[in-house]
Amino acid sequence: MNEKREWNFHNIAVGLTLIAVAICLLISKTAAFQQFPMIKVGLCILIAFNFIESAYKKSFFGMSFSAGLATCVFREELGLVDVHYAIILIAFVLIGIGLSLIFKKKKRIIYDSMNYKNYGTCKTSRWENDGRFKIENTLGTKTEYIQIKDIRSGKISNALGTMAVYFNGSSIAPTGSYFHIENGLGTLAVYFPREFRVAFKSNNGLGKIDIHGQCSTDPNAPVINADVDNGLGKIDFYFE
Amino acid sequence: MKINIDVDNSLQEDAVTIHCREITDEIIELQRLLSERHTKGQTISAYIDDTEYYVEVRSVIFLEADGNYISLHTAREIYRIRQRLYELEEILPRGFFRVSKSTIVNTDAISSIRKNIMGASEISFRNCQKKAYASRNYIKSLLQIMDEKRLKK
Repeated sequence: MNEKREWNFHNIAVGLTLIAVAICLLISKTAAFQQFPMIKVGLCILIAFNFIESAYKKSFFGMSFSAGLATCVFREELGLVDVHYAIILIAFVLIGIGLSLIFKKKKRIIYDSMNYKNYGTCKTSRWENDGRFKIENTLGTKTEYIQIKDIRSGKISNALGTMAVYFNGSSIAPTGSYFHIENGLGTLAVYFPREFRVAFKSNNGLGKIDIHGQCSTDPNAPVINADVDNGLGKIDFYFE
Repeated sequence: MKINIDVDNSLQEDAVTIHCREITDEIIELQRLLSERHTKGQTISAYIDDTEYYVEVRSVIFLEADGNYISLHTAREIYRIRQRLYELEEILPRGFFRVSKSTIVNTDAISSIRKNIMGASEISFRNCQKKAYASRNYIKSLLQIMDEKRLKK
């Protein structure tokens, strides 16, 4: 919602700036306001907008580049007539790069489970009323606790990361359930309660699938049909 | 080593202070033993569904943040606590150590650590198949703690 609002605000600001510049260009070709250099005014509006936008984004490079353009526009007023436009721009670009290197904070990617959602490497969806869930992990380490009553279907997908999934506190729908579990190059550990009855259908590439412990053998218990697809990684199923 | 017992009726609670010339392995071991003795019988209140359980601190193998809750793992069960991880970290005994932003492990329950320089290191526990993961930022400190526990000459 906030992103949408920001996007709308940005578009409005860009639109107004362009309209203002267009008006300045039109006026410059007419007899009105001849005492003002309207093309310069138009350029100033554009530069000011770019500077404000760069400052908002904390971009030293953008701010410096805008300042360079402004210096080019007011070259005569600033007494830099002898300095070529290209030299002014290069100087400001270098200043911008220098300031960015000194002040800009490096983006740190933390591979902790709490931060995955922010970096888009792990995505979890649950539809508790519907008895469905979907967990996707591409990179990093993630632990997920599924607590859904009457699970009907679920998908667990792990690409390169390490993921552990616990089902303590969950139950299977009386009609049974279907799980699709896939693992690429990573390590996946799935912890089922001992009372779960699971039928595995495995498709393993060069990786390893291990089952630890014993699942329920009660013929009246609902069955989870688990379709397991493993590439080069490792999947461990635990019954405890 | 001299052992003095100073009885003072004005004290609010019992306290043990160790006076030493330097921190040696023997002192660390002594502190660990005292700490273990102190936590014996202490419990944490945790839930499974609507039932409140009093889980013995010593039986906890690791705690992990899970949204608004903390999942408390013993060898067999997973309980839930509605508390912040940093709040628990402050009150847990010395044997508990943070291994990632979201996980605190009981170092006394650790049976093995599989180091992974690229990502999270896998921590295994005694008498249990569960695993916890230590992030790169914390693994060095954890290994130091485990080294302190190691039997030495």
